[in-house]
Amino acid sequence: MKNHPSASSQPARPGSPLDSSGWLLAPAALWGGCFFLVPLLIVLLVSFATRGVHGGVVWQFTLANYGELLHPIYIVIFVQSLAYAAVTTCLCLVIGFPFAYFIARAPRHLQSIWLLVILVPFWTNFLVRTYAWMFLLRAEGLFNGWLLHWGLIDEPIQMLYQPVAVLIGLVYGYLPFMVLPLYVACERLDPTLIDAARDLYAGRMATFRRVIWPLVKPGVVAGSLLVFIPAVGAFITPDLLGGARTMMIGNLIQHEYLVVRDWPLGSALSFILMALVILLLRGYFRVDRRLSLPQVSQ
Amino acid sequence: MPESLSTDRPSSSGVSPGRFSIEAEHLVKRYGAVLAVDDVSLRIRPGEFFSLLGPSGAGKTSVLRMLAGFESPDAGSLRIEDQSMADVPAHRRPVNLVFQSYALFPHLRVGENIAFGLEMKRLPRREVLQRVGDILAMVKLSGIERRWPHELSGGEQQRVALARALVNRPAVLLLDEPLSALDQQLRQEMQVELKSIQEQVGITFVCVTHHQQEALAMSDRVGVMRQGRLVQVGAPRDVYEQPANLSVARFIGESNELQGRFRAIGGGYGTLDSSRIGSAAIKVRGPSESGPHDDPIVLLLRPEHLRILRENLPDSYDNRLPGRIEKVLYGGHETHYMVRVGEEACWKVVTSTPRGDDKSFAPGEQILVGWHADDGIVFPE
Repeated sequence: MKNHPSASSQPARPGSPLDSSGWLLAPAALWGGCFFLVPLLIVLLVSFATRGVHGGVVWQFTLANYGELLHPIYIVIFVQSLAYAAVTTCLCLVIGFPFAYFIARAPRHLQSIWLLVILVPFWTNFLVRTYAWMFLLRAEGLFNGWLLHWGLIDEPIQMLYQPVAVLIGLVYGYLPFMVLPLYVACERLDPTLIDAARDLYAGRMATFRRVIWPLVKPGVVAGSLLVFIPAVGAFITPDLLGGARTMMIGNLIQHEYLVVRDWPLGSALSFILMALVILLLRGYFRVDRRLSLPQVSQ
Repeated sequence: MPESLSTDRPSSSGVSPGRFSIEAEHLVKRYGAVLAVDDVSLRIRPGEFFSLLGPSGAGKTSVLRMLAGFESPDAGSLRIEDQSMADVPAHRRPVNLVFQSYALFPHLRVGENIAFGLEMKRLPRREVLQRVGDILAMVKLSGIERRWPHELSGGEQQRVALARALVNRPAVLLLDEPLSALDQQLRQEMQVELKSIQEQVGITFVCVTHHQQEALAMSDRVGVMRQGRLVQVGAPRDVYEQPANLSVARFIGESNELQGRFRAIGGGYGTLDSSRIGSAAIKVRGPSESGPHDDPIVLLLRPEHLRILRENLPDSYDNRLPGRIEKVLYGGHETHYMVRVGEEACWKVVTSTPRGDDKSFAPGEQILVGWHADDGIVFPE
């Protein structure tokens, strides 16, 4: 029998312990079904319903909610959100990669200490940490205080409620999600391959480009996804650090649901956001596979 | 053919070939408190197959890494092809290394792996393809350019690793335990092949190994390392037959040992009196630096230099000791006997297996172990 065309080079494992243990899926399947699929379906239905006069949902089919999203103001917010998420992902990668590489090359006992350093902030509530950033960035905050004290500026710089504050908050919040998968990828990278590249006349840049980068790319992909997806839908960070001037899709959805009480429009927004992310991911993987991925033999 | 295989280095093809491929003077390398390489000086001639032999931790890999440029010596100097390597980083050295783990790039096909060095040197595409094809033919793997490294067997990966290094036509090819990951059969085949490839390309090979048979079989010269020091350098036969000291003798080949006191009897010979085998006086050749009487010495006997004799046979051996066969290990082309000699000593004797069983010995049999005085190697203790 011919192999499935996309079958990987790894041999199939008939009779592996997973075969007879499908029931282990049951709890997760039940949980996902009750608390993910069903609500998702409800949101989908609501997105095709009509808004009542005083809020609430009137069960009358319409496509108007989706039509309304073509309004430029919504498109601008979508594009803005994607841009924020993309820049956040790039910044996390640029900051996180050297750090992950450094940790992976550190002696074993120091590696766990460094990883702990990354994870410690998670022990504090995200909201609290975001408020902390507000204190740092305020006009009378720590940064402006220092700059004034050293005479670098004459009057406080407006840092808070600026796009840059949102970016700082997003990068700060999602950096660990980038560092951890990158660390795993770097840790798996056999250092003798780097020696081999150097032995074969590759300088630092060429070694990075031709050997290190392609081999850690699975980690880059994983980290980018883990940062990009939540960053597109972020709403606490832009809400607190961006103020009224910055609106991301997350804020918009929250606004529609809780302030305007237009549930159908909020649902349509949620669905479009999801569809957009899925489409982007598909495109990303398609390009990525075309570029390389040798592990998938043909 | 030889033209296309010569190295790219002008010095090895032209008017003034360097006297030495490698000249290392007083190399020292420390890792923390550990002295890994302790004052090693070494000269390797162009086209030579040189092996650094030693147990693990002897410092031979550190020497190799300094040659490759991955480590810099704490003291001493290193010249490759008459050029000082003091400030030359690994990627600019005219050497290539075959890694112990092969270190093939898993994300590149075989052809891309082999072409890596040539592409880094920005050779024209056509020449790269040509050279990759040629080198694959040399290692007998033509036509596998499109395969992935993980699809190859260990032996094939080994050849690809060799090809990836050789294709660059380095002045010196470094090999780090090149055959250690192969099984016995393949290892022996590759020894022959490595040697013939080396003769074919005429490139200097420097091989690090802990496998003494491998080193003796392939090398023109062997350098024996112990505890960071280069203890002896010489042709395989010299190192085996005239080891510089007891530790070299113990490391290279198997040996039976007998401690005793030396008494000169003239003509360069003497006797060894050992309490361990009773009163029998054993005739030995005197140690090279003849000391005073009653020096404590160690007599070393290679298993293949010993003969087992039936008691009734007349013979011409200088020394005969009574013994009893303890174990017989039949090994095909040769048979190993464990022989109890005296009270404590249990010696190993290796003989080529006789045809038929008329001459073989059985456990429990009382026999004599005989050898020529000249076959024993004597060291001061």
